[in-house]
Amino acid sequence: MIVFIEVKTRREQQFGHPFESITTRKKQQLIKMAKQYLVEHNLWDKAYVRFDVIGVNWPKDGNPSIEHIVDAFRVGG
Amino acid sequence: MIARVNSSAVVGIEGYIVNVEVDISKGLPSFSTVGLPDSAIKESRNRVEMAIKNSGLDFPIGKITINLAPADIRKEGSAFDLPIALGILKAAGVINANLDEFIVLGELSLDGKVRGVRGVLPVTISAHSKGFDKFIVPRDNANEAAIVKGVTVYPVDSLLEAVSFLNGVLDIQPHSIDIDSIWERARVYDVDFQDVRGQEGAKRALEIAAAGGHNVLMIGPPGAGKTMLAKRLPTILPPLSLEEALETTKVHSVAGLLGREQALVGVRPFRAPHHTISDAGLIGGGHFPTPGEVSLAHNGVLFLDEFPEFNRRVLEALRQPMEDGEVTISRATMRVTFPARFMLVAAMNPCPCGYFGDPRHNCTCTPAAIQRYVSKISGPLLDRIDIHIEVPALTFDELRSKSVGEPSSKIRERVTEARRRQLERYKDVGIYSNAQLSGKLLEKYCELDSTAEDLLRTAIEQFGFSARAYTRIVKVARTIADLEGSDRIRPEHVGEAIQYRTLDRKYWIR
Repeated sequence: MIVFIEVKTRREQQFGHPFESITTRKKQQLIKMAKQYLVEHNLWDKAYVRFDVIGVNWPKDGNPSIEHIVDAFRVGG
Repeated sequence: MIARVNSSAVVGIEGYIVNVEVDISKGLPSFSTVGLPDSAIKESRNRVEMAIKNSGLDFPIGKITINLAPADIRKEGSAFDLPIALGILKAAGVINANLDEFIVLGELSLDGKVRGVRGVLPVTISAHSKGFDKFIVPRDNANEAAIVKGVTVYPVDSLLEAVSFLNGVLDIQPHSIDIDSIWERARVYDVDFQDVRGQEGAKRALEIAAAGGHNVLMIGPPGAGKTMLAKRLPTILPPLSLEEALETTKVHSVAGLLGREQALVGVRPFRAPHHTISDAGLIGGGHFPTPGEVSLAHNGVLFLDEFPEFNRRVLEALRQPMEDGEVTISRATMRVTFPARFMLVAAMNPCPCGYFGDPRHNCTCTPAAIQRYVSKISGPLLDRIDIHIEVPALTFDELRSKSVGEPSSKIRERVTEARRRQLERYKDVGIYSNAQLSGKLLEKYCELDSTAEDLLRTAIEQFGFSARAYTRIVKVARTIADLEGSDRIRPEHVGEAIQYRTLDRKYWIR
């Protein structure tokens, strides 16, 4: 299984949660990127594929906290 | 890996088998449904995914393709949720059992509960005839499915229950019902003709209508009891046979009108749609055709109160089902035929204000207004209504009278006997009641003796009856003779039958 993981870090809280940055457009980009990768490495139809998202909240004056969504989205919704 | 689950869907009131095929292969993760699904099925992916996850199971990773075969029939509804979910779990290896011998139906909610669906009875009947005898259905529909003899019904409340059952972890008691006792209980009406005070003339007319299968038009002022009388007409019709009950239940099942506790429509239905109904509501229709009121009244009574207030287009649409006993709905995607053998009972006020001909009120309508009011009903439609009766307002004495009328059961016995005579007489000609007589058959079976003939001639000349009034009178006279157990139509039968046409003269002068 190939897992593509988008890791998004936020240092300033006022811009929202890290997951909020994974928009529909971002998902489309990730899917396109995955397709490119699978074709280049001749893995198309040869591996199960999963998309995960990891959000890192890392305040400037503190320790980071990490959240992980397994199987965050699929093609076509 | 490919998994197959059998399910079923309905076209009209007949079920057909749908094979749900699920394939999970390598590649980009996706979920697609093919095989002419409608939007409710396309949306099922969201319900199925959430139901599986919220049942504590893993939703498999991979390229998931669902095929609903045969691919050329349009599928609708939510009954494929459960089979799709089970197929996915089977393809993912969560279920190890063989699902081939089951028919699976059910809608899923997000928390994994199984909800009831429409059309379970027709599906069970047709799948059983194709050799399937094990059914996994929502608990809400268990009664309905268990009616069919020779099938084993496993009711489920949740997806997890279905999975555990198939894996042999959970034992589900097959749902069984005592058809005989349900049949007995379902056949009781909650109204009776005894409840109606007075109106002996109208009661007699309804008895004749019931005996011959004639359609009825009741004319009377507001509050005379027209609705009350009509509501009790099903109670004096011959009892439903089990086949008729199943047929009627099928229609109600497809329309989603069967309650959880109700397994069978055991009494003749009484449908009274409001006069603002659309033609699709009355005849049936919709993008994916569903039965209308005429089909819901199949084997029962369709009551149209405030008859002239109905949209003319809607009333004209009634003519074809009244003639054929079934209605065919054609849409771009499909043609569907629903049964629609019903007795029409129409009721109306004599004029817009309601009091024309009432001795105790003054009618405030102009003759032109009355004419306009009654002429909203077209001649061809009126032609299909054999019996017209006046239902006068009750006097105070009649209202207060303690005298109890005849119970429905007594009247029903006479009606049933008259119907039996008709079935016997018409067994070779393909009709079942006097109301269906026409042309040659009318001449053959309704011979009048000479005195009766004379009486009818005088009446026709005196009252100026039309040719169609003549055939109506003869048919109704035939029924009155049948009620009396007489093979010949005698003058008194004709005399009574003429009474039920006098309104022709009074209101519709042609």
